[in-house]
Amino acid sequence: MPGDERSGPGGGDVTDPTSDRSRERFEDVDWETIDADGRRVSTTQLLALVAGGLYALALAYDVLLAAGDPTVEVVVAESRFLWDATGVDWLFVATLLVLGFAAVPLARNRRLTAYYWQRFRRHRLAVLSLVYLVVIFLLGTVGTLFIDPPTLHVAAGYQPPVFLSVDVSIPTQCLGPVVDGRCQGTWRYPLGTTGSGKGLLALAIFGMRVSLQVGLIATLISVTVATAVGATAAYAGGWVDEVLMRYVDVQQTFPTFFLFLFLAYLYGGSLFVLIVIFGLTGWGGIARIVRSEALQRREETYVQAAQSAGASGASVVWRHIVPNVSNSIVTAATLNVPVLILSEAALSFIGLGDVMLPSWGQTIAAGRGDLATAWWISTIPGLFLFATILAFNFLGDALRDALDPRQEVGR
Amino acid sequence: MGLKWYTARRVAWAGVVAFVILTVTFVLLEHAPDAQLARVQFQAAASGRSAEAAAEAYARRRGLQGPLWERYLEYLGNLASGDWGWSDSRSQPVVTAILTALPYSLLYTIPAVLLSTVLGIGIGLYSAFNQYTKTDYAATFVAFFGVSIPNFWFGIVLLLVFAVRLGWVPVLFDAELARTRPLSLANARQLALPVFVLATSAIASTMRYARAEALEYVRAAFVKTARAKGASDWRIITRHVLRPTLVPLSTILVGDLLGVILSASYLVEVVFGIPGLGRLSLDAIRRQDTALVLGTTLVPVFVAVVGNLLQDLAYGWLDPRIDYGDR
Amino acid sequence: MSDESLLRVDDLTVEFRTDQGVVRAVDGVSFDVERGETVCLVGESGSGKTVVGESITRVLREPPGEIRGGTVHFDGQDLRSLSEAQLGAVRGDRIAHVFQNPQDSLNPVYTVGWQLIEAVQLHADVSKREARARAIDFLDRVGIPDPASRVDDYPHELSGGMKQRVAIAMALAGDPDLLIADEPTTALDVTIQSRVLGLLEEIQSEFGMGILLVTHDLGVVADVADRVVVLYQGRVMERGDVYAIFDRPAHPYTRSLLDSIPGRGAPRASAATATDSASGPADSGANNSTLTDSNSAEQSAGCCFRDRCPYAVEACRRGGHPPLYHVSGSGNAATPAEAATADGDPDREHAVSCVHFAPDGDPTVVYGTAVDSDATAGGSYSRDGSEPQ
Repeated sequence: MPGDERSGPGGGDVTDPTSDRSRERFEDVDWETIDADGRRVSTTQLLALVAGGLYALALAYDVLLAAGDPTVEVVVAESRFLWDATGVDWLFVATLLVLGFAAVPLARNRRLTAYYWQRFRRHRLAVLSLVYLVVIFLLGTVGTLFIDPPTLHVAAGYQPPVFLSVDVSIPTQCLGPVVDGRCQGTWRYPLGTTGSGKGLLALAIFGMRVSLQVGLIATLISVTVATAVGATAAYAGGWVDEVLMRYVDVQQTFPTFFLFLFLAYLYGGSLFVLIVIFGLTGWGGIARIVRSEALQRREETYVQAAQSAGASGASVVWRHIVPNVSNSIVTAATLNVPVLILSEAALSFIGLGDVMLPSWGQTIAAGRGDLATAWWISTIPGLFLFATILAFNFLGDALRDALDPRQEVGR
Repeated sequence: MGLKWYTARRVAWAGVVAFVILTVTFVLLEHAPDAQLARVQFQAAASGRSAEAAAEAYARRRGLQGPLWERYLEYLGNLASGDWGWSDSRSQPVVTAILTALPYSLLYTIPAVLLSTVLGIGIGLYSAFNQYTKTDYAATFVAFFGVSIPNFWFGIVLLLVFAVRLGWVPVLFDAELARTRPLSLANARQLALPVFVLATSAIASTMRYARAEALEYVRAAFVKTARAKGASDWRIITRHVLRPTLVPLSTILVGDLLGVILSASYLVEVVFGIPGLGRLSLDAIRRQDTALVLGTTLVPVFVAVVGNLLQDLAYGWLDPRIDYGDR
Repeated sequence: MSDESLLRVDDLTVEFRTDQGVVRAVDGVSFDVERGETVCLVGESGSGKTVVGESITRVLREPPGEIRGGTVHFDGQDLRSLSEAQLGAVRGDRIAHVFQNPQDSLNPVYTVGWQLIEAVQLHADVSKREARARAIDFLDRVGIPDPASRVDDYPHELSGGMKQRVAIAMALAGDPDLLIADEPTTALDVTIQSRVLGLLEEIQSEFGMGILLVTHDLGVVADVADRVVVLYQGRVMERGDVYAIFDRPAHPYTRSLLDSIPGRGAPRASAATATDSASGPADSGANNSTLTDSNSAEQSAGCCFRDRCPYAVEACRRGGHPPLYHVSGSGNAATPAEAATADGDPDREHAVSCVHFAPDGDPTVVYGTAVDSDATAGGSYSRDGSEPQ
């Protein structure tokens, strides 16, 4: 096994940060031992099977039995918990499941995780970004289940954020205290309201869910396609490689934004369609990274050993090449998320998104007309959007440094 | 294989890419639900006429009849011969509409591209030469902001501050002014924010790539040789590092910068109300003017195809080591 | 060390900042180079020899490197006090460099001619035409066949040996008084090596310049050196005339170096210290300088070679690293190094940094029994394989 003779990640002889030899890598350790299990079903695989089964059952229930009705309806005392899962929600749950199981190797190999964490921690901004993103993630997934969605409340239009005040003539009807002819913000709407009286805090939180759904689901689709294409191209070589990579060339030539724009125009901009478009057309860059990494791996001894041991092509790709390019994939995927979040916001901003969804881009667009009087409507969701994209970029950069130090700037 | 053969191959490849893209757009258009057709049918049904007859008449008018391959060839032929269709919403040929809008887009994209190329590469090289200094950290940090800030929102914030609050620049873009006196100070004032917004993201991404590429060469032995020859720092940066850096950078400049500029300009026009290609396209989308949507989408696509071609050719003459047969 | 030396380096100290802290790569190195003379800086990789070579005209990358102390005088001029621009005028004009790896030392995107013309025009106000003519002339002089057409070649079209010739031609372009050549032959085939060395010698006799040759290859040293400076962990272990060094190596480290030459000296398992013959192209940074943390008290106490020294005694652990002591011809009368003896004696300036050569030390500990006989325990090391004089 390649990882065996190597020194431990925290070992004392890691003197040269550029040396590949003294560093243990994520992929060297774990996947080989899983392979060694052979036919026996591991606990993780069992858990994955159970989770997948439950997921399928729940999906079948929603589609076949609860069609039209809310998926979950729990009435506790006065409050009613109600969740009607949409197609995107189902995709999102599936994505979260996959992400959860993808993190299993990290949890299993604590030492290595600690090593990565140590490298990652040096980037203070990235740690801060991670905290921010965890908060956003929890608010956007769990939080939205318990918070009332933003609703129209015309009488409460144009309320300023709390601690701020505007001329009393601006809000439709000032809900907070009026001091010296100025309307003060109230805690009922901590971040103020839009012209139609939707609370910006609720809009921001529900916008988090939209952004996360777009970013995570579409990236997962992209990563899946990109890994399949990149690994196949690298492993098969010859005309398969040529055809696949030429296709990637063509796809990469088409400016992404206009591809999204054109497709959203033709097929409608519902969130589900948008996610599928993003996922199925945005994988070219990652596929190239996977291919070039896989080409290097293909020449390594353990792959040749597996081949000479009679492993089939697909099995070599899946069991040996893919796990060994996972670091590059994680980095590229992290940097892909902000691009998609920004694209979704931009399409919503120009009105090509789902009008019913509280997307950040949509809210920014809604506030444009009121810039002179109610500046907060466009500014606040924009700040969240900016911060989220920035956080993902910081995170991706630090991950590249921690997991994949060879690449300076990925494409 | 020589440079000529290489050039010919790249040009041919650009042709293939253009052809594939046109084919794909044709297929997409064929399969997309036609909102206009639906409207025609609905109107016919509402006024008591036959929806089917209306659909047929619509199809005849749009040239949607005949076998698929015939329409495909016609589609390709029309696009190739410069007949990009008729814009219903503007009642003029698509090409005319695009040519009218294009100058407004160029008015601010050209300064932004020049600015971001020069400043982006300049700051990137400077940063690479002063790696790990405070200036380098600051530049890298600012670059992160630049690539992360949503430019449409940035535009709004800048408008809010500089136009609404401070009143330094006009809130509304005056197309008449831009057309009649493009070189006036007033026009420069109204273009300042769009150029700035566009350049911010472009400078940031150019700077990051330029820095990363230049870092590879700053430590190179040939830079040491140049220093040992007595070349000044300025000469080393501009002659010895810039040139090899330009080779990989040309790829990134065209691929990324073009993407950034094209998509950003679309949104910038929406925010600042500039009647350029982006606005034209958005209006076409809102009015379901498919021919114009297609036209305004194909312009940036062809710009990208040509840009990629130029980049490949630039690669050929910037790097003497290139193996022409390899690509 | 006379005042009229072409190059005089005194107490040079260079540090590198790394992730692991500050590393002292060069620690109080002193030596000089006379006109028309070849001085070899010898040491294993990480001994700081490359850093010394690059510190003289400060082509060293700063940061991470930093010259912390000492003086560098060139032709009476204090180089350390010069500004970057003034140094630029010295580099390539009066002091030229040739670096180790010819593969990387030429800019890949410019023709050989462009780079030569640049070297000419940086220091001489001549027309492009004239510069090109000179470039072709230089290519011819370093033995490149058909220079008039080769001048338009790109570096990747030349072989390694040819590239090194071009690099030497570039170094000659300014008609330098001093050539600092850093492992100029290491990356080359053996046959090419001797030709390049021959070329250097030829040029030296033609131009009368001083050469500071940085190398780990004792065969090269034996071939070309007039005097030798042996470095270990950034310190001078021994220096002196090449005959003195090869015939009567005083420092245990020098002796182990010489023992490592195949077919020379008696193999001694206890001091099997070989120079790193595979020193990589990255011999300049702090990355392979031996990590001797200058802050660590334990490391700085005593002689820096004592842990590898077969003759280490209790005295080696005390105080700092030993100063340089003069080695007399007979090896008996130990005096301070600075008190030079008569001219013409190969032992003039032969000095060693070892406690056994201190006034109260006993050199025979190192030499074995009697010193006046050539048949000492370590054997005799004659230059060029001929009989010792």
